[in-house]
This record gives sequence, C-alpha cells and structure tokens, in this order.
Amino acid sequence: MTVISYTLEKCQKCMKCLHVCLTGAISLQDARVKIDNEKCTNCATCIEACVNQGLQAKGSTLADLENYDHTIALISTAVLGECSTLAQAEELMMAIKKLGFDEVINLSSYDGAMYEEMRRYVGVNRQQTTLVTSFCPTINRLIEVKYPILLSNIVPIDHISEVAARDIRKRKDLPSNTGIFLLCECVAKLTLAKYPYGNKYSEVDHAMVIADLFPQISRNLSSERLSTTINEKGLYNVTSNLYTKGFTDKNVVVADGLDKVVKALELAEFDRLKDCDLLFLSGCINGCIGGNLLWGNPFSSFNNVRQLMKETNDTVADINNNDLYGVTIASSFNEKISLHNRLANFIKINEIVEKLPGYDCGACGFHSCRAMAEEILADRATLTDCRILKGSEVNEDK
Amino acid sequence: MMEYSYVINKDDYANAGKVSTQIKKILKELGVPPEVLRRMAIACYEAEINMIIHSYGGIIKLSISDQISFVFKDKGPGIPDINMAMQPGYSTADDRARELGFGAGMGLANIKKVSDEFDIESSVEGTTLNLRFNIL
Repeated sequence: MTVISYTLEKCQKCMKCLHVCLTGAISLQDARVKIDNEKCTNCATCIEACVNQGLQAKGSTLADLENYDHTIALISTAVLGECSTLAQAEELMMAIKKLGFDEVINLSSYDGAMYEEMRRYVGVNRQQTTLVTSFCPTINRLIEVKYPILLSNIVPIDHISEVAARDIRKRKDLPSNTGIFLLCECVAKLTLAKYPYGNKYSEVDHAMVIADLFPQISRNLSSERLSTTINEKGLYNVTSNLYTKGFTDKNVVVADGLDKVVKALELAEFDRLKDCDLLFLSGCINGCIGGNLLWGNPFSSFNNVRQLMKETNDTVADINNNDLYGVTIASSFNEKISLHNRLANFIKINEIVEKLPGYDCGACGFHSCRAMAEEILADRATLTDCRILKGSEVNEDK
Repeated sequence: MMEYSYVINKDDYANAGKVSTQIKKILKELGVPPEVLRRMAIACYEAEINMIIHSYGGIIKLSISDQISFVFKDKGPGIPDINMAMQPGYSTADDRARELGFGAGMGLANIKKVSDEFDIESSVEGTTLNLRFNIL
C-alpha cells in the first residue's frame, strides 16, 4: 500500500519520479502519475525527486486529537537526533506535548529493548544464512517485491511503534478511548498506523509527519521541559554508524541508503555475505536519523546523537521478549499462477520486448521497455506509443 | 523454449558476477518460486566465478522451458581430477583469486548440492557443466 499522494495540478509531467523508482512502481498514464500499490515500497525517492511537490506523503493532523479522551504521542527515537543534549530533548518533548497531547513518550527504551533482543536472536538463530534486520518498512517491502529469495532471512522482530503501542495498551490505568499517535521521521513508518491509511491491525491509531508539525513545535519551544530518559542502545538502533557497537563478537554488515542496500541485497542473493551474521539495512542515509521527514539532516543528526550519548542511560523497556515479535512480511509470490502460464506469458512479453528499442527511456510513460511490453500484452498500449519507434517510422507489421 | 548465451573471459575479475546478475534478473521476470531461484542464483554465480578463475574462458547458456538448464562450457585446460575437485575445501585457486575472496574450494560441491541435476565432463579441451532445475 502506498501512502504517497498525487496532485495533478502540481505535476509537471517531467517523469523524474518514474526514473528514480527502484521497483518500477510509477507510470504516467492518461497524463497522470500512477503509483502501483503492489510495487511501491514507500521509500520516498520519488517525493525527493519531485520538483514541484506533486507527490507528497500526508499524515493525520492535530484535528484528529479531538476524537479521543486521552492522547499519547510516540516520538520516534530518530527524532531525538534533532537534539544534542538531554535538556534540548526534554524541551522538544514539552513543545510536542503542548500541541495537545496528554502524554509524550520517546521510543528509545523500546528501541533499546529491540536492540538487545536482536543481539540475543542473532546469537541463538544464526545458522546457514545471513539474517536481515526488520525495522525498516521500506526494506521489508523491497525484499518482498524485488528480493524474494531473502524473505526468510528477515528477523521477525516487529516494528518498534507497534511493540510500544501494544505495551502501552496493556496499562490498567489507560482510559478506554485512548488515541496513540506516532510522530514519524520517514514516509515508510507512516504506513504502519490505522489512520490515515486504513491498516486494520495496527496498534497505532494515527501517524503524523513530524516535519508538518515543526512550525508549531518550534513556536512552542521554551525552557520548559518534560522529564524523560534516553536509552543508549535505543540510539544505536537508529544510527547506522553506531549499530555495530553492541555486536563485538558478531560480524554485522551495515548498509544505509538505498544504493548500498541494493548492493548488499544483490550480494546476499548469491549468498556472498554468508560470513556476515547480520545485515543491518536502512533505506535512509545514516539510519533512521536520516529520515526524510525530519527537519535536520543525516549528518548533523549523527553529530547530535554522539553528543546525546553522554546523557543516556541503559534501562530498556521491560517487555516480554515474545511481545517484541510479530512482523508479518508476506511473500508477493503468487502461487495461484501456474508456472506453465508464467512461462507462456514470459515468452509473449519477450517477443514484444524484442520489437522495442531497449533504451528504457520512459518516454512512453512506462519505466522500461519490458513494462511497456507488459502493457501491450494486456492491450493497454500499442507499439505506436513508443516514441523511439515512432521517430524511426513504425513498421506496423514488424 | 527460450535461450540466452553469454561469453565469459579468462581472469575477468572486474566483471565477476555480472552474467549471474543478468540471469537472476531474467529468472525473476519469469517468476520462479523463491526457493528454486535461490538455488539457481547460487549455482550460477559459483559456476561463473569458477570459469573466470580456472578456465581459459567460455560461454554460459541458459535455457528456459519446462525446466531450467544451464550449460557452462569452457575452452580448457580441464580439471585433472574431478573427484578431487568435488571435495569441499579442495582448491587450486591461485593467490590472486584468494586475495579477492574467491577460491575457497566450495564451488563444485556447493553447485552439486543446490542443483536438481548435475553433470560434469572434463578433458584438456575443456570442461562442460550441465545443470538442471525443476520448476514445474
């Protein structure tokens, strides 16, 4: 499911989004950008490439707070990367509380618990294959869509916001109509909540874009603080340069940013990373602290985190280990389509591909000649839609 | 039946794995189940690397029909003792290959382990490795 919305009026049809998409999820049809939900990984590369804000991710708004008697804001640990001291973090959390939340909880102690469980899990479960971290929803989707060989390598530890929300809902003093809001640092994490995207099974009610709230947060900032603690290992969990710190006896390969991730996944499919116990994969540069919905940047955030490390504690959230698990990543492989049919289809598509120029220029509105061939086979396009063939006199009988 | 053919050059370490990457892409486009795909990717990669390290070069052929077959055919110098070469850990790779992280001596044994059918013939004229994978 994609959380990326499209505004026709703002779209210049420049097709930059189409070219940068890793999974070929974007096409231009009937002069509109279309995003294929089956392929989109919510990596937000298209949003970054869009020159005119035609593509954007939208979250819930503060107006949604009114539907609840009690509201809790969960602050992604990565957001703490905006602060270089505990005092700043406490001021930030107070400013967020003033947006209208009854409680504000930073997720670092949950991230810390997850980090420790990951260490334990790798120690116990490392066998033949390299294990892959599961905290990044974009990576999980990318593996599902493009690297199906590696699906079984993903450690089934759940997303931290789900773990935290589940834990909070167990509290006996919690009013019945409590709304849990996740303030997200990246587009991928927006996908996890019930609203605005309609996930049925999420424990988180609403996901919000932290950058959208920034102007108000900024106005609310003062010397007033909300007392909190920051867990050291929680920071490791969201910072690629620190992740290996706790794995002194393990071989952990860190790949941050989609370029590195793709390289690592290609190698892992050939089992070329078998000497590595755990593959830490983050779609964002420098880990979650490089989230594209933060107002800082991955590099200054890393410096901040290093400063912040001086004021951390080591108390992780007290969660039953079993409650940390539960991420479900379905295989996108459709077993209902027989291999006979796949083969027949594959041959037909290849026959059409042979007639196309093979430049993958995208001018037809599809990201590759192969994608175009699939459309032609489905009668949604014709060879004459190819600009290159048209330019060099299309031979209809070809 | 669809056929693809690729040329492999001796000592072409710079392009090691490129053909396997292309083949893996084709097999994904075809849509073979992940479990077979994994085995084919590993076998193809190992065999491609073997060819680059040990042979004078050759060709890789991929055929797709009701089953998927690979032919790795090189121009020599041949494997003197195939039984020995099949032993896990046995390697004749030179220092250069080892420095680059290849040549651990698991290649052929590994390929045989992951293939549904494995057939190898070798003489000084060259080595031909036939692999088949069941997809139906």
